[in-house]
Amino acid sequence: MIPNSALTIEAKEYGRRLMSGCDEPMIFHCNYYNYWLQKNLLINAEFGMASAIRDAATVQGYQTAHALVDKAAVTTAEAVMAAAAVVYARQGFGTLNFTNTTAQGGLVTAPSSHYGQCLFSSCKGDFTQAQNLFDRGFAAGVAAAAFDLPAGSFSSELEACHSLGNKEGLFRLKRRPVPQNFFSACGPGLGSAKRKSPPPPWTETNVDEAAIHQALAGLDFSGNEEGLIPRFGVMLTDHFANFYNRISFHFLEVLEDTGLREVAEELLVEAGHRCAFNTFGGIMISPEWQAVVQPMCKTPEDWVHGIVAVINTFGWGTWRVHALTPERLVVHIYDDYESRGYIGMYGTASHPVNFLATGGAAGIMNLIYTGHISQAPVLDNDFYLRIFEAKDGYHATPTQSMAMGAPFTEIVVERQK
Amino acid sequence: MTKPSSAVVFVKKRNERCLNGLEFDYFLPTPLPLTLLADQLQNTYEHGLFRFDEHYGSLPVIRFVIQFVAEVRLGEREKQVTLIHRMSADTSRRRATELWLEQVLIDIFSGDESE
Repeated sequence: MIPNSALTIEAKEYGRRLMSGCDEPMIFHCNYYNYWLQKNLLINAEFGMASAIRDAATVQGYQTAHALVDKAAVTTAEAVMAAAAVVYARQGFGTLNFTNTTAQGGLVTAPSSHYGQCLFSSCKGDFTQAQNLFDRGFAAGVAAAAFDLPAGSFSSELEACHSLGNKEGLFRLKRRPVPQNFFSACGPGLGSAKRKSPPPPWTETNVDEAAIHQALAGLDFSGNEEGLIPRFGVMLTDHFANFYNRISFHFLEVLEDTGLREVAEELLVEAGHRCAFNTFGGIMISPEWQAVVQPMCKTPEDWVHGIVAVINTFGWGTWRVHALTPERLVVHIYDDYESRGYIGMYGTASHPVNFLATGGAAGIMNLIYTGHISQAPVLDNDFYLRIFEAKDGYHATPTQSMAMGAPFTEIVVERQK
Repeated sequence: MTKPSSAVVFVKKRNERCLNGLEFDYFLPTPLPLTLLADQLQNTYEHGLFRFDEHYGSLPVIRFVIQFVAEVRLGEREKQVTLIHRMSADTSRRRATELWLEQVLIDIFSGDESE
């Protein structure tokens, strides 16, 4: 086991959450976003994104296990792997068993798995390829750190995955003759040089953001005995922001090389739409919302402020409503995780990189004003298509990005004429 | 509590959003007798039922967890009980859990028990 205080998630300025010991920014996302992001990234095998996803997960596993050695004084390889599995389960990724893993590798089992089991609901029909890329990469990174080896010391070969109909995940770690070179993690990332503190929340609303935060702080958002987090009618993960950033920005690079940058951007924003629809939508019809937030909501605008207050607990940075009418929403985001990750990995960007935020902001308006989420509609695919493809639906544009050096990111959402 | 005269004790609805039939909502005719229901669940499950008390704002919610089997949430909504199976539970285990919960609901809401 790990000491209780080790690798806990701590609230930091500007709405960020960091895993202590390794300073990894942590953010909540649900099984729907994880499904749609992975589906879109794997759209063409020639892009090589399956290995990119595994590699990004390896870095996170390596960072986590290294932090256990360095900061939590976990010493033996067996203890490091067992402790890393505890962290993995706590974050909602599932369960891992490293009992048969040695410095030469071995068979890792995953009795339960967010990626292996929980993406089913987002997709009708069976998967044709295994979805547990994160699990495999993370386990390889943990083993490398546990045996004090370079991060890329193990490959992980698939033997079974829940998503292919198997009863458990199985993957074989194999020691590489020569470790694969790996990028280093960027830790908490960086803000822009002009970074500003967020203003207080909008006051002309019935919504009390502080009260919402206080109420949500009392709920348990850690993994259950299966290492899963069933909340708000979805399965949550308390995930590594750098994992999302690495795979999203790599996808962008790969498609830019083939002249398809705009397609990549559209796919990443679409994943944001799906996230908004399912996570925000799920939250806004959940018992938690109905008990805590809905009593404060007298107008549709209050619903916007309410969901923004909830978003500000996700670790995504601080969202502030700057302007709001039924026709238009302007959101300012201070220290958004996409910008921080981009600057930390690559330096200042030449384009906005706030794909999740763009899709999410459009989703808020589409759910509240087009979809009338206050009437608790059924959140199925037909409803998604109806509101996101409506002629008078909303479209979001990132008008400035902290990744490009701005003090904060600005997203403008407008009703289409 | 007011005893319902109808033979229909609850309406069971599968939550289509949640993970291929993992979650079922039971809609009841009258508000939940929270304490009675919690006691009955504890009395009728012999081993391994763990209780967690939470508050959604001022709303008290009781979560019962049977590890690797299921979670039952009481109090989230006035006339509703939610059952969420664990991924690990196989079909027969899930059915057995549903029957256990349903029998408790029948015992309470059909008038065999009173608060």
